[in-house]
Amino acid sequence: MSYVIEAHNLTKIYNPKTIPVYAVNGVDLQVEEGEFTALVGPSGSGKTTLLNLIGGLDYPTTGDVKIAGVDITKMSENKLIDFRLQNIGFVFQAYNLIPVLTASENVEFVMLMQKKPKREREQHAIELLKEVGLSDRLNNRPTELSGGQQQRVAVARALASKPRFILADEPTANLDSKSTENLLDIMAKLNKEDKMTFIFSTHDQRVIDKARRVVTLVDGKIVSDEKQTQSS
Amino acid sequence: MYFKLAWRNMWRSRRRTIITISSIFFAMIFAILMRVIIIGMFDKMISDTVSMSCGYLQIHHNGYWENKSVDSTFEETPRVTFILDKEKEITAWTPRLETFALASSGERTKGMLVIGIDPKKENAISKLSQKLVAGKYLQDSDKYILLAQGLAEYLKLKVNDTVILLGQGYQGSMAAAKYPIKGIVKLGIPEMNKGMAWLPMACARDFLSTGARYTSISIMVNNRNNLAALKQNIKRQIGGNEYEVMTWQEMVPELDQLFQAKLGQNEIMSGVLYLVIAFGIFGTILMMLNERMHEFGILIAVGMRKGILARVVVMEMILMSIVGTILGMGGAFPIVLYFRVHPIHMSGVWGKEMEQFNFEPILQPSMDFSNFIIQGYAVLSIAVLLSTYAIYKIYRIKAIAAINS
Ligand SMILES: Nc1ncnc2c1ncn2[C@@H]1O[C@H](COP(=O)(O)OP(=O)(O)OP(=O)(O)O)[C@@H](O)[C@H]1O
Ligand SMILES: [Mg+2]
Repeated sequence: MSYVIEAHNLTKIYNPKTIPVYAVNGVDLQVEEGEFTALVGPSGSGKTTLLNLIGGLDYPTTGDVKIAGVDITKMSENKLIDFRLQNIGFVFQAYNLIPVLTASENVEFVMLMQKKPKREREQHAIELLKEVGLSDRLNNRPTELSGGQQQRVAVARALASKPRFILADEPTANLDSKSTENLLDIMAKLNKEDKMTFIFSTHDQRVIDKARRVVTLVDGKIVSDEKQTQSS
Repeated sequence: MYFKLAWRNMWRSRRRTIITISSIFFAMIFAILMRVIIIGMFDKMISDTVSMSCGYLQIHHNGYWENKSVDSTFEETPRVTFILDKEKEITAWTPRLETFALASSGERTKGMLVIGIDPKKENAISKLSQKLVAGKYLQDSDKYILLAQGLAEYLKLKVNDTVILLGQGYQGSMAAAKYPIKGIVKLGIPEMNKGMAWLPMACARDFLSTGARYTSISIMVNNRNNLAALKQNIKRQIGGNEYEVMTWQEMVPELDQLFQAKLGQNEIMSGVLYLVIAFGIFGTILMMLNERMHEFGILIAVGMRKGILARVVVMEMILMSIVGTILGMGGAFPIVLYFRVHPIHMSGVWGKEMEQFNFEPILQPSMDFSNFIIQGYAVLSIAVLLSTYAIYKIYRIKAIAAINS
């Protein structure tokens, strides 16, 4: 079985010359296709840092990250941008969207950068927004959407590039419980039906409960890595 | 979509965009007005001067310009006039036989320029007949003289009075004659109005004993910006070195220098306006970069190349400048057109000031659209130049840091 993500002996040290902070400290992590994995741990434990390293947004101090067998830690910045575009979907904590574009234009945007033809972009954007339950919000701008709706558009956008996996750093942190549940249900559905791989960090126990694998970080180290059967 | 994005981004902070655009708009209008007024003033001055005196180009005997002597004249030559007739750039040409002489009414005497003209050809260039304030215009066979108004006033002469001319004729001969005044013309340029007179060519030749000779052929052209090339062209066609071809800049360098100096001053003034625009645009760029850092970070994270991002941002700045520029041109146009049709007659201090510099005290802006375009280019270049700062900033963005900002 090959992995979508293989991180080996991953370390990220901030301020190596003054007061070194081992944000991620010798992490080994493999993720298979189709996983639905939560990254948990106390504040400052290195969740965001680890996600950034896996997502090619930051370079590790030592160690390597392979995405579908390709080592991304040696790539130039421009190569990495293209690699992210083709392989990785991102959902950030908040304000993910371009404010001047409508929901469907936001989703289309990544496909535009992938140079997909207009027809395909438009159709696919409508499909995706339908999947996240926003077919009636296609032409609304982000400011006209609730926080939960915005995050769902962000998920649709992350899916639009047909990535190998989606990284989400605390995607529900700014949402109320109803929106949180709704977003997680959508992600779980996409994971189940389309085999989309998700890795998300969270502090929220209800979100953790939905995960099938829970990786716990403390002080930049993985202290537990457990599979769990989904509570319905 | 990139265009759409740039366009909508531009209207994101509507107020700031409107302020930036209106600063460009007003600066453009001022810069254009200043420029077309100066150029219009000189267009008139130059065309008045050269049509009355030397032409945009002049052909004369080699050496004539040095000593201005009637001895350096040349005989009528169909070969040269044939060349001039078939040159498309040339709108009109006229032969002249001119010299300095004394004009006297008996009571008063004054030095002045007397010019032998071909009345029809001369009129096509200097429109002398339209400048008549008394009497009639000359005919070929007349034995009359035409005086400039200032000169006539000084000499206290009226139409039909007789004026006595004294001067030096061909090869040192004594020239003296008297002619009745047929008409009096008023010239816009004060200096000229005080000291010019015209005779039909035959009279002038008679007066100066030159025979069938000219001192010069003055040439008018379509476009005074192409003179150097035209000069070379004519020179080459005439060949030899019996003749010399000169441009007005070579013949009246002080006028050209004054023009260039005023243009220079004007450019400094425009420069100040542009500095204002530049600060406006730069402020907008700074604020925009600041406000949108988070968004830029997200865009780069999800796979937007920095080059494309920079292009969208630059497009936005340029779009804004283009809108301001076009509005500015559009705003200036009717104003310029209005004053073109209704020139301002300057009176009082300003008018006196202009007359002192030998300008007719009339402000009539130039309608040459290139003056609009030049200002437009200037604004756009500023926008492009300042946008490079945005490009620089964008290339230095670190996605994570930007997202966290
Ligand atoms: N740019 C940085 N410079 C210096 N130290 C940093 C930087 N980013 C993060 N850190 C430090 O690295 C450690 C890990 O931070 P990280 O943001 O990855 O934690 P986290 O698990 O995501 O926390 P939270 O749950 O609060 O989001 C922390 O001690 C943090 O202070
Ligand atoms: Mg975090």
